[in-house]
Amino acid sequence: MVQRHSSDTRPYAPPPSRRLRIYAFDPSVGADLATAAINEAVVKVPWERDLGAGPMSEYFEVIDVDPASGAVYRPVDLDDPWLLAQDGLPPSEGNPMFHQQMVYAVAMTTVGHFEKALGRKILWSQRGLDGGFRPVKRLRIYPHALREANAYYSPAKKALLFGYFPASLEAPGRNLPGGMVFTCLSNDVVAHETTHAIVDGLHPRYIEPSNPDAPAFHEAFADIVALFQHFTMPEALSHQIARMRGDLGQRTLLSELAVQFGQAIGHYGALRSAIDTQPGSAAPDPTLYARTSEAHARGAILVAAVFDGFLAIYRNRIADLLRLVTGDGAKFPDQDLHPDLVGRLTAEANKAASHVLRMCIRALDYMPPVDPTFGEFLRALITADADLIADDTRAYRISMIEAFRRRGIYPADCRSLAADSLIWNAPHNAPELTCLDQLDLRYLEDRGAIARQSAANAARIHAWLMSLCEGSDTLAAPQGLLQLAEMGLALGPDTPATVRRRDGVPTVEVHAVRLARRTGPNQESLTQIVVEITQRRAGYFSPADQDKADAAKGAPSSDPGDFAFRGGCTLVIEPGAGDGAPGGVVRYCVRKRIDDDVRLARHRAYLLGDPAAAENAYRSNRVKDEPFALLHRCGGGGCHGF
Amino acid sequence: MASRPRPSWGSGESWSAGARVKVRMYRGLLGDCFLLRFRRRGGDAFVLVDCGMFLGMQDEVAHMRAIVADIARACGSHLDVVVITHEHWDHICGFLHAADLFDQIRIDTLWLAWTEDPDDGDARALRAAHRAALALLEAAAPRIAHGEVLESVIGFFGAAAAGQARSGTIIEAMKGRADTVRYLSPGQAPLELAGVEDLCVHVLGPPRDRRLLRRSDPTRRGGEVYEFAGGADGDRRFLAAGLTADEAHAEAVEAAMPFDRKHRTDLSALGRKPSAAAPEWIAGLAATYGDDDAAWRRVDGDWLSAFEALALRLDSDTNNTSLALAFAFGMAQGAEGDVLLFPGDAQVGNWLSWGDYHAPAAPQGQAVTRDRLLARTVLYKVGHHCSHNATLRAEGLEKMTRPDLVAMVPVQEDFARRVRAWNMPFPALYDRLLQQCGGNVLRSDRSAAAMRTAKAKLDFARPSAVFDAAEDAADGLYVEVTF
Repeated sequence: MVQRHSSDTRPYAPPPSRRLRIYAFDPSVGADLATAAINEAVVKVPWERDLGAGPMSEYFEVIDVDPASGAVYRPVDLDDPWLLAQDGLPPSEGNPMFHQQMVYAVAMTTVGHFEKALGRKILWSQRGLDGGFRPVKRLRIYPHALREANAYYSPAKKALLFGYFPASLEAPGRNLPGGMVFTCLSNDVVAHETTHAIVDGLHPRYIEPSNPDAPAFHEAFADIVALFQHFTMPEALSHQIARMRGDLGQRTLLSELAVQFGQAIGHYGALRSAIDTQPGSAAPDPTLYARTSEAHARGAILVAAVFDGFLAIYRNRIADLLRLVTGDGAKFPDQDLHPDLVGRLTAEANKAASHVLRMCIRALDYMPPVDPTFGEFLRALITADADLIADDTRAYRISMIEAFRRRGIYPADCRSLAADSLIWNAPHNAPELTCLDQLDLRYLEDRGAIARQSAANAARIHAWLMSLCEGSDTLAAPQGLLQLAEMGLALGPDTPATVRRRDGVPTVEVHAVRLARRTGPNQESLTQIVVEITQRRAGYFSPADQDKADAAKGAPSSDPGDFAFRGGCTLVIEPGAGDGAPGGVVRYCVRKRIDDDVRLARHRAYLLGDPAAAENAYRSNRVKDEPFALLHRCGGGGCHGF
Repeated sequence: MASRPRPSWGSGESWSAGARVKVRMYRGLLGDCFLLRFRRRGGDAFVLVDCGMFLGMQDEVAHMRAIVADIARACGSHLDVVVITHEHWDHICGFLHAADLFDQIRIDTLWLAWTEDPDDGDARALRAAHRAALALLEAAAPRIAHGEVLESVIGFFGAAAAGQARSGTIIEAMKGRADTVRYLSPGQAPLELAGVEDLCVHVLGPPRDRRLLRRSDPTRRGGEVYEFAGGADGDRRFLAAGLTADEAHAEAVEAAMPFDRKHRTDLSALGRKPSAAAPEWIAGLAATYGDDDAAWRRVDGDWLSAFEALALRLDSDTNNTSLALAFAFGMAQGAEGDVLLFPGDAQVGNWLSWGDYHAPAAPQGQAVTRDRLLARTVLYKVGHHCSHNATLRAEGLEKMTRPDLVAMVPVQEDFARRVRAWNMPFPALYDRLLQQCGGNVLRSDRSAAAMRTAKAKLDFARPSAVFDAAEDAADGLYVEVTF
């Protein structure tokens, strides 16, 4: 945020942004004649006052130690006038200070997209310590921490670790065989890992593999953000649009992820692509989703669905322009485009992409707090969009639903695929929000203060939840229990003994209370409170053990079971009429019931039936620290990388 | 050494009519040890397939010695053949722990996979690569704080750190004990066991194809394309360079450096109290990275976990070098035949390679192929303790269609799950195995009686005389079936 300090006597306004040079995609793009012109890009990141050497910023601390080389690299000082005057260092593989500049610039850009879409500042996931949680101010970035074809977000260290490695000797693509490849110089890899960290801050339970979609969702979302960031670089976008004569449905630099990385490990192309249809075929394989379990491959199906939805939106937006040129709104020209047309198409692609990215990010606020599935993401996507834009005149929602349907991704428990049936339901037994007037809903600038405000609000909501079941032993509060059940929670006397208790009382965690102020494309403004509430229950691999433990009478056991089964809900609350008046309604209650034994059985079957998941399950008490590192290495089975 | 007269098997009962072979699975170990006794005129023939258990199980030495003593008793201190399927501790440590007992047993022939052949060029290259990788892992192990994965892999090969003999040495010693050593390759002429009528031993694996040798995972996702960036050798050199500060390797160390010397400052500068002469940025980094309150965020050892990937790779590569044998009765004469399948711990690539197996037809019979062998399998020794990637589905288990199929699973579920955190037996596979066998499954961590009780509760149970007659040793040392 732009801030003027009172002590500042300068007669100038601070700059709104800082311009920094980066590789638009990665260094390999510059090695190809066809794309060399768009190798470099300049991004504008929010101006941060007193940016320290590192860079050390409000959100990040870049620390360039390289233990495998026994070396530390001097941190770049982006506030140095010599660098300010030339948009930072020029792109270079051989200068570690440029690497630091690039990870900072890309990570900051990614944060910017999230903050714009969510209407609030992002916070990193908290550090669990001594049974409590401590906020973490800065995410650490280590640009050269690993000597392997890998990069990952470490939830334990609240850090991004990037690796470097020699390119394949046999099939290096456009790389020098055996030459050094740096994952921190790939725009996609940096955006992907930063997104993992941001999503972990929003939904810390999503790293638990509770169903095949859960680990895949984390990967897919990180890819979606990296992918749509391609469309925010105007030079690269117009270059590729001119080259493809407007048709973004073909494989271009824009639709591919981590080109250099993929080639360097002998993959003969990008690591992943957002396009899953074969050339000449219009339809994706609708059975792939059911057949694919590996997290990246399964995630790629979600990425392809969202990208397909984007393409439909784009084609819809440019149909008039095409009609003017070719006489057919669905036909792309077979000649090179006029520069004015390239400009118009670029503007439309940029707009459509930023809308889709914003839609996806907003959907995160409408997701359940635990155990996410792709189907729920579709519902969240549609709800988030409908909440903001009443009329779907551009057919965004239909485009998305259609793209998901084509890949066999359906939400559970929906009567139809019409957009209005996919919107989350408002609760039947709407909880009475008697706590609302006690909440602190002020808009704060400082991230530390926001974290404290959120914690204080969480405590008030927690007290309110507990008050709902007061007197429930005497059945005096059936209404409160009904409301809790509506939220997927179990606090009453019939609660299974496996639900975690403290002092004999079932416990509830209020994860987050987030305030969001957003503006839609038509300038509608929207203020919402998003509350995430969860409970934990001990799950057992044996159904017999489960029944026994659930029914246990007397002192509740502290046995954590074989795995953690979680439930709860996300409440989307609209507070009053906007002028601070009391009242307010729960617009949506997205729940995952803690007492849902069918879901518990599915969770168990998944853990026991999927090799990777099972490994995690059994290791969960041992090496829980680096879920993304393990996921990425796949036991040497061949899925390296980010 | 002179062969002693052979005592009768077990409690002294004779062969029942039609019976041709008894298979004794030793119990109480997560590891393989099988004694096969073939009916033979003038004295039965004995084949020992593997003899080992996991490092770190209770009473490892004492239990192995008890088993070998029983083997010696059963075979009258004379084994016709010893088979070592592959070089993992859980298949060979008995040869070390009971070395003195094996010295007292006469061994006619030792069967090893071609990968152990010192005169085979491919095998030499393979072993050199394995040795280099193992040496690298051993060098890395002391530097890894929680190197459980690494240590357990090194343990497979005999932990040098624990003062144990290396697995290579154990196999060398066995070569010395055997009168002859044979190295077996798929596609060679089927073997015979002197005097045992109607028996052919088909060698199915390990494959000669390097690509298949390295394929360990059931996923199709490009596994063979990019195992290691830069090829395994380059990758190892790159990682190794980080471990050494040795002047002799200065050139290799420098080659692996990501940046030119002028950009590098020695990392140790952050550890010392920065001197007044040190540049300001060193003091700044020492204050953040060196901050003791933020020690939990340091990454000094994280790069070493790349060695875990290497370790797991090495481990499954070795499983894939398993000697896979099919003991086939009566197939050469054109009859349908019966097969005992011992695949060692073969993983996906090894299984897939059997698809090419083709033993020429006897004059009046049809050729023996993988599909015929699997279709006639009556005993399946389940690979790799019933883990998820050592039994192929469509090209393996689903082709074993005999209604009288029996499976033997060498597993210790409790040890695997609680101590090692391994998912063995892998539930989805185990369930399918039970169905395919109609409940006629024996496990080394259960008695035959207990398995019969468990079978009675299954709704798909099929009767099996062989399974019903499976015997438990009085002291629980083994379970035995007769075919």
